[in-house]
Amino acid sequence: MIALLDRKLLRDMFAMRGQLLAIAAVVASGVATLVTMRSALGSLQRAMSATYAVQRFADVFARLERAPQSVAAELARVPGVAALETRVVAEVTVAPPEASGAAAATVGLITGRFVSIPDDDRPYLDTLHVLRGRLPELGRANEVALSDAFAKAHGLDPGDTLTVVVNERQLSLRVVGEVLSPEFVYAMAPGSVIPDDALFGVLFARRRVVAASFGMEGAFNDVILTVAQGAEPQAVIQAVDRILAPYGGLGAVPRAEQTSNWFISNELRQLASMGGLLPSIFLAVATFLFAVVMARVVTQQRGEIAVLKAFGRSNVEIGAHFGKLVVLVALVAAAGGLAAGRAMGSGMVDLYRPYFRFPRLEHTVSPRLVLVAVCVSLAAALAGAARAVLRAAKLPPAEAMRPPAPVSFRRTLLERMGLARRASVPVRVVLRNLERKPLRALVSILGTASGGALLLSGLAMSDSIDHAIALQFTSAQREDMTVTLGAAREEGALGALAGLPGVRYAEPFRAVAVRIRAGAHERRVALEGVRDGAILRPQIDLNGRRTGAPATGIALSDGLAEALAVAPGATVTVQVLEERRPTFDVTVTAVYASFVGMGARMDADALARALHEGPRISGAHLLIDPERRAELDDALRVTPLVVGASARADALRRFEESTGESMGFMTFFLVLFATVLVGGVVYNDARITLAERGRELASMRVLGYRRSEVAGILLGEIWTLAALGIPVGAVFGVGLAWIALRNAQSEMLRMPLDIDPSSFAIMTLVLATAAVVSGLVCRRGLDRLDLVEVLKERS
Amino acid sequence: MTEDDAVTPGLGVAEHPVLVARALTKRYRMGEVTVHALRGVDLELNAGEFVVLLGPSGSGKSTLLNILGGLDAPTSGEVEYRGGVLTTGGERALTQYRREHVGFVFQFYNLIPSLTARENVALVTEIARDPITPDEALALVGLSARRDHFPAQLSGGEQQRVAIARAIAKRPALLLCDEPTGALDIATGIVVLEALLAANRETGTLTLVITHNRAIAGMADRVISIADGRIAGDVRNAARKAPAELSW
Repeated sequence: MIALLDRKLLRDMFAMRGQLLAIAAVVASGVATLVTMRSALGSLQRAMSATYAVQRFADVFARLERAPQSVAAELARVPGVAALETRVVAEVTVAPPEASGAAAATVGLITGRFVSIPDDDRPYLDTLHVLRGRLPELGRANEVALSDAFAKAHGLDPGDTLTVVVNERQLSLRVVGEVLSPEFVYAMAPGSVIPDDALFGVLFARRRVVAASFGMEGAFNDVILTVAQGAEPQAVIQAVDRILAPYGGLGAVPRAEQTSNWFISNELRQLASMGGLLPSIFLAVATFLFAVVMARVVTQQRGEIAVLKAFGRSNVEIGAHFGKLVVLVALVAAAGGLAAGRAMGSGMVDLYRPYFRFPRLEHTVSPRLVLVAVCVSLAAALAGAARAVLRAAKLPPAEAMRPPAPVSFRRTLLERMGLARRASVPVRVVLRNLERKPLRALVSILGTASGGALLLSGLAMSDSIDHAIALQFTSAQREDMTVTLGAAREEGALGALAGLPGVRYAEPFRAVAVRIRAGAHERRVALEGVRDGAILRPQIDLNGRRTGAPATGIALSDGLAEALAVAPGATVTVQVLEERRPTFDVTVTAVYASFVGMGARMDADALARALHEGPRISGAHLLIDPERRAELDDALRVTPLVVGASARADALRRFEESTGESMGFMTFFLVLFATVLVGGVVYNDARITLAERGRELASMRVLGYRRSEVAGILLGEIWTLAALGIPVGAVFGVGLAWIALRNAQSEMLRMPLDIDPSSFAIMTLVLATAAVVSGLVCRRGLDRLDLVEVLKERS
Repeated sequence: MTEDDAVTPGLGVAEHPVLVARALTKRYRMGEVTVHALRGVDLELNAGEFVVLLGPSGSGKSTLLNILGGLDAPTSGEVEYRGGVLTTGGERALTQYRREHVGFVFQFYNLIPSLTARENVALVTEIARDPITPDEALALVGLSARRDHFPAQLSGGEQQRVAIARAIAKRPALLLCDEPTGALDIATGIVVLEALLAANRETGTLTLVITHNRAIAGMADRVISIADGRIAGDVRNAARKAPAELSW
């Protein structure tokens, strides 16, 4: 048996179902975005910490040229080192596997990282999770386990054969397993900007096999270690660097700077901040909608409230009655939002799955998140309705019996300024009503604007990425391919590269691993020696304009300048981490744009002098004949010292694949959400206006105004507000996009905000369509106005 | 429309049928019950007449007024306005009829709260073919001094006089008033009735006042009684009283 008041409540709710559904949709959208992003975040975090814990992910990573195995004991004695493992790691090129069918057509030069696992045992740190097959066995010389993404990209199964090229020697390996490493959850070839599973793989073999291939028997060139609890990682890193310096140590990095972990953490950081910002927008709009609608409900039901109180219902009962209404809406919305968020969160995790290779990545919505979602939607509802509910509770019955005081109007500001003297009477009605309820007008404008802002910011992100890619690949990186040598060579090596089949032009570059220090800040980057006349890698600023190479001093990428907190004019200390390892001070003369990664540049001759060497090259940027690409790949594979070759076309294709998919996903939901927001606001606005002013509009119909003319007054008001919301939305959208970009921005990834005019057009179109359609839905209510009935009632 | 020439302002009573109702019936459902509001009404109303339609509540007088004013359609029967059949034109034709030929005055004034007195009148003159100016209309009801006030700043009687000015400003052929004094005290009611009478005299508009207040019948040219959905009486007053002489 439902209590009488509750029955009234359900009937009231049914009568205003359109409005309540519109609000519920806005709340549900907020809950859905919250649950989507927070559940994806939580799922990724759980997968990450489980993987790192179970597979004992190291805390510090160090590369070096070569050190005898005895140095390992010295390293292990460093205070604060808990566990330590030495390895042999080397870059190899891989012959296109025979097993790969479809993949082969698109494949360029495949590179791989050969990583050793201990001869006598399983690795203790960065252990491998075996997905298929097994780890290479002791004593079997040619066995290898592959990173799972690479194996899958080529359809390689245990038992298949893989040929790698090591120092011009072909080495035939038997695939025995498919594994996952915590070090390569997000696996990218060195120098790449985006993972390409077909072009880069990690190959795990026993230490003896890897060492023999590179002449590293009894030595190591890679160290990973964990830091004991309570120990200071920075102190450990300094000690490790000191010990490894004589052995060509390239500088140890903490886990935070380890590539795979850095990318994952950066993504999680973005998810966390957007997962807070986006739901807040929806819930703020929902709060205002609740406030406006409930204020109207209480005004409309003054008489009923009076009768209920006259018959002895307490203030608390009346307050609770209206409170229940919003709580019910909030709960229904929370349930809908949770269901949608669960599905969308699962879809989002699926988008991450190909990039983040965790042994277990399951999408789950934690009970805590469910609780948060319900509380947040209840809070939005109750905060919005609080004023109206209190007013209902406090309304003295005698006062409630009387009709509300007549509303007073005055001429609008526009009219008082003499600007609307020629406006027709219906236009004045519109203007005065808008001015009399400035707060509600503001809510409508802001509601529409927030829908627009949300949509525009998403489109702007997409535009900015496109713009950055275009700038990177057409202005900053104009080569077709970049070939990297394993070690620096005399300039004569350029001739060999230029003579390869299909090469039309070769531009040399010199790059050395350095550590740049400025005050308390330091970063490990590649310092490039460039020539002023560089055609393929011109110096450009953030707008794509050429700036010329720095004649003196050093130029830093904007990301690096920010990380070091320096501007042109400052002096930085450069510690070279290769060969003679000189250290020198140099003045920062310029800051240049780089969208991906951090870098530094010096004039090639100045760099050579600083390195105490003659002209040498680390590789070359090439222009090639695309028709002869396959021939060139084959030749590169067997060219001495070539350890990497990345083609612009491959990177572009991967970018388009990966951003296209996620941007499509995002744009779809943004359009949906913007429509829900704008539709919800406009629909409620129209319904409330119709309820408040139905009598007035019916009077005009009686006086002989046509339906279309009266609809013009109703929709004129509502569409005026929606139209005002569009430019405000554009401004907010630019702001939101800026915040989102700042969020996505990191030392490694920087994009200037760039919005295509078509995005403004799309936003305007979506907002206008949502406003027009929801207004027209309400017009039906106007057509059903009962002219006779309305005249009988007192205002 | 040759009758137009006959309806000259200041002409007073003239025997030309402006509106003819034939065998009007109206049934409507109120919840579960079917209400027979009109059970066959025949009526002729002439140009310039001041007619009081008298009946108790529920007699069907409001329904009749709504049908004559083009706000509602009869279940059967027809209404002719100056020889044209109104009842077959549909919603669009009825709107046009109200817009051009009918003035309404209601018990609760139905002014637009966001518009001043003058603007409330202008609401009608803006869409009328041959209106008098809002200022002239307000002068007719003695409200020139209050023309820039909003409804919330006017008394009930003043609001009703604005409603009358609004109704006559388009020079309607037909002025329909539904209990125009129903919400007013007697003194104010008399002022409003004087304004109605003045408007009738000045413009020669056929004026139909419906009321349950018998006293008002004294000022009419013609008094039609309605009871239970039928015409129960139709008499001409030999001598008319001035509104000031009425009391209730």
